[in-house]
Amino acid sequence: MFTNYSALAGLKPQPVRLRRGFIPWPLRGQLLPTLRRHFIPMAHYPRSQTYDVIVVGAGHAGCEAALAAARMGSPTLLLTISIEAVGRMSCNPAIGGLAKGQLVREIDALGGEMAKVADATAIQFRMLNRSRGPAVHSPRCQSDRLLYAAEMRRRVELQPGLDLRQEMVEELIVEGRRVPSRSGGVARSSIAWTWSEHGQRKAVDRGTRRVLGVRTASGLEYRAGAVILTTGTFLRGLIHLGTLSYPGGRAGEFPAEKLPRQFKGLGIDTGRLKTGTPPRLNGTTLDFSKMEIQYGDPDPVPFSFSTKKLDRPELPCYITWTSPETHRIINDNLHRAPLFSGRIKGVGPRYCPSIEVKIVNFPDKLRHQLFIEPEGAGTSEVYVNGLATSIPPDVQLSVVRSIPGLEKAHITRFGYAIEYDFVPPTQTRANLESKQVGYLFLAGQINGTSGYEEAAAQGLMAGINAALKLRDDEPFILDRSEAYIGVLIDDLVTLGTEEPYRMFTSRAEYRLVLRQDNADRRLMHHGHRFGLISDEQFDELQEKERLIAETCDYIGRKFHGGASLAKVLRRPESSFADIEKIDDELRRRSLPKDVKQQVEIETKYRGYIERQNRDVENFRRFESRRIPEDIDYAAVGHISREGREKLARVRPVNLGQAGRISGVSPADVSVLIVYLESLSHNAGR
Amino acid sequence: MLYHTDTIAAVSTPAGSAARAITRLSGDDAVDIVQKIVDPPVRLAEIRPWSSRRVSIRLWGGRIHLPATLYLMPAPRSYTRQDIVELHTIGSPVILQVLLDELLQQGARLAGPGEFTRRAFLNGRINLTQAEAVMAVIHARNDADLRVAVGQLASSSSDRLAELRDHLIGLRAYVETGIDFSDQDIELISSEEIASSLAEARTMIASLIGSRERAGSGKAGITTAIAGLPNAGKSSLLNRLAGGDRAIVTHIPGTTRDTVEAAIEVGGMEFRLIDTAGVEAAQDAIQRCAVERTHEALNSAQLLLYVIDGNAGASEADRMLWATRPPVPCIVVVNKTDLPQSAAQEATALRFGVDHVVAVSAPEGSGIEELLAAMAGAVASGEVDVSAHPFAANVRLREALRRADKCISAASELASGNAGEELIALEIREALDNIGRLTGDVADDDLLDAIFERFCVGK
Repeated sequence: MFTNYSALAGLKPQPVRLRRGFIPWPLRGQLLPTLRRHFIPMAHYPRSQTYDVIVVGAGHAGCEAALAAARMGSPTLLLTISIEAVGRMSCNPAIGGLAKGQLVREIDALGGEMAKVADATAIQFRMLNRSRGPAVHSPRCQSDRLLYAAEMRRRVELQPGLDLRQEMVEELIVEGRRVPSRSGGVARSSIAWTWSEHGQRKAVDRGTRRVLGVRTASGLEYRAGAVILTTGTFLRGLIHLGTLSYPGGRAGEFPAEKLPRQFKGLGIDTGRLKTGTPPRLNGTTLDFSKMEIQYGDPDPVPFSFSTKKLDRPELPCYITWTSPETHRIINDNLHRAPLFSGRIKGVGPRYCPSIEVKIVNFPDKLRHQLFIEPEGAGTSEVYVNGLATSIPPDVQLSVVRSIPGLEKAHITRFGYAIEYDFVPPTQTRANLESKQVGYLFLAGQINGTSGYEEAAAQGLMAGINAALKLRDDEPFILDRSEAYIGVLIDDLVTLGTEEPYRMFTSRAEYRLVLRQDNADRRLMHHGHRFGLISDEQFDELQEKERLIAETCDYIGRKFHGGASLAKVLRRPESSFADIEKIDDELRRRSLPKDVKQQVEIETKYRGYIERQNRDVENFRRFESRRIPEDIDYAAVGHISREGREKLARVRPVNLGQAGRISGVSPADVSVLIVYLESLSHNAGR
Repeated sequence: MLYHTDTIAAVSTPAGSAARAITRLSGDDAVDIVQKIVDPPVRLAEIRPWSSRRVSIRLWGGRIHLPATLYLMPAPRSYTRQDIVELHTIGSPVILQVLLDELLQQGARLAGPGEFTRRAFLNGRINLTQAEAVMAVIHARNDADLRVAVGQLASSSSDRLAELRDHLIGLRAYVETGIDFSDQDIELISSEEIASSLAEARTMIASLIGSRERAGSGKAGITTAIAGLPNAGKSSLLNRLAGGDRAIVTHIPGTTRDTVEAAIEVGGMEFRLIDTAGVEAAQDAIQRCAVERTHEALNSAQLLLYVIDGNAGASEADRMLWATRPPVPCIVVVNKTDLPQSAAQEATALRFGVDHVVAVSAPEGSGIEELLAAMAGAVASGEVDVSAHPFAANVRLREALRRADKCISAASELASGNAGEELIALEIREALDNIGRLTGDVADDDLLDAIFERFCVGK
């Protein structure tokens, strides 16, 4: 087995790891030397290394992508600007939260890593929205920031078939020409050809270029079948701190300047977004007696379906508030705040505003809540959640010291804002592959999202899809009725985003069925199909399903005092424990906790779940009607002009997606249905 | 909507003129739905296919008995290859509206643009070579429906509908914020407040449904806009056509500020004439308003009379205005033939790319007969799309409101039973979907705006 020790050993050419049926590039070149020479100069071969998948960036998206691809049997290289930064939490030291917790559970059900690492490194667990219905329960944990990154790095390093290396990628190696036709489709003349592993000629995605690998700052070339970009805030990152602005990928790290410039030449548009982070303080200088203390849940629920037991020391958080003095200081110094002086041009997230924006936009709100979150057991540094800011350092210090409990606080790192390039995601396919460059996948903040969980979810999907694409398998696309991940990616590629995109439960139409408690039942079969979920874990799920079905059946049949147990359970005030009390047989079965929970939820929510399932059925009718990739919208008569333009730009994969594009009317969809039908009739003749 | 078998209903004869009208249903429940409202109770299953039966339809809670002839065309030998029931009744728009309303209340859904034709096509009833024609019908019917909708709902009901929508979005914002930002310091809405806000929404819906001011009432007829440059003599023409001094006429260009309407009947067809203010760069607030109203009138027009000052001749401004006309049939009228003409009529026709122009003199009344004949001819030849019924907007409005009301009342029940907010949110969302289908708005975009406007959320 290979570990990354060999990769770290030096820059001398590495033995190429072989998957069965995999022929390395140099050999393929010898098999077809004349044809190959057309687009790959042979001179590059001795200097280059070959992988199936290269992942650029080792943040939350990159780690998931690399692990998934490697586990699916694709030799993978993970490149990062700084090896110390693998899995780094650049913002708050927490995983999950409202709607995000659901994402983490889904990542776990698909065989991702985030939930397991979170469970191994958490310092506090809380189930949010416990007072509301189970559909909106959301797990969240405080993490030990350093431990989290170390644990993720360890797992990456231990993964067979995955190499980790510190390299700054400067350029993509791309072949093929793209000749767009006037209608937004692609002209036939631009078909690019490549060779399959068995030496047969086959067409690359019609008319798109194809990525072949990357060049790095150290002058090396790495060749790969697919490249996944998870560059976070590093693309032309520009840090703002008061009146000062300087290029940087994160505080103290280099930005990537060359890659965005290459995008332009490839026909990939970029946009600009902004995000920010609060100052960090030395916890030993804080007076916690003036703050409210917040503990985690007494009965913590782990993120991962595979975590049986949580064994972590718990640390509390503290709550304090801004004071009138805080507001005065900020108002007096707005002229030095880059958000108000016009210095920052990128669009920031409305749900995560900086403290100066909150104070200006909501002058009636006299105080704002702040959470003091420990960064971990190994450090006294704390994170001031709610105080994101880019005001000058001296003002930051006065602001911090105007807050009860922080009067003597020492700032260890100043807050800052960062602007960065993103690739507006309507240019990306639902499998997260670029529409302009084939085999190039994009995941995380580069697609305009914010948040570790959103990034990790995309990374996992990109990793799976890259591996699938290399074996010529169908892409893996979750729809809006299957998972929050489906909602996330569909929103991005169909509607695009104008601010950093964050998940909310209200974005999910089928919220009552997309629960955190049933993520395994919804998605684990996919993870198992890809080999990302072990047989043992899948067997466990099957057993759980069996017990749930059996119990649901039993409580529907067993009567107690004229009412079935199911009916008793459906009463608002009763729980599973209550029907266990009145039925000995049920109690004797001593069912596992998660089975009882599923039965209770399914029984209580039944009417609503059935209603949503009917909606889902209707939704899927449209979702399952595929639109051929090479459709020429100019040839479809009788569509409104706006509808035609939008369809040609987004190029939806099915009728459902077409209908969700803003500007495409129901009548346009109707016309499209008839057109597709006539196409398929023609093809059938 | 894709390969649906639910039952759709629509009046399938053109609006306005016909003495008899056909209301058609297609779908699995077509027979059951009709069975519920016919008297004496007939067992429709026993009617021989493709034969007729005289029945009486109970409307308005049994207060009206409408005589009708019923035709049954069972699947698969019908136009749509689904069960089709046709009800042939008198063609009064009022009666048709009540009938359609009744069918929708019994479980039918108002057919979308060209939906019968689409079903026929998708079920293999229509030849493939006609696919193009099917798409054209859907497109045209959608346009025609939108035209009517714009004309009809540009009244106070549309304002009240917008108000209702805003109210519900606001309420949903409160409920959703309580769910999605519950970890933050925000004031949450109590279940009493939710309940009272829901009750308010129900009152709004009830008043909209029961409103006497019907969309399209008094707006029957084929909407015919009279357009042209200032001082082309549009108002004189309207006065002449309507036979009275409906509009003030002076020699000063731009006399007409407001749109002036008149209804006339030609060959049994009703035309609603709208005189528009001459479109020109607006100088004052009143004129700007006038220009806006003109655009509104033009957008809802089904037929256009474009008036040229024959004395002054077609100018460059005419060409520009002509180029921006709405895509509806158009009759070019050369006015002021009592004065010396600047160009031959044939030349003018050529310039506007029409077969011929109608020359009239509004003050003398010459050529008016010819113009009326041209208007009637445009309708009779099918050039003017009269398939969109003016009351369709009404029926659709009420159908959507009734569905929304059902959701809101379910939400109220949930709120009073202290049920989960996520369930209340689901009902409000569905109510909004129903209203959004009328106005073409997507609720979710506005939701986040509403949340971030109202709450200081975010850590």
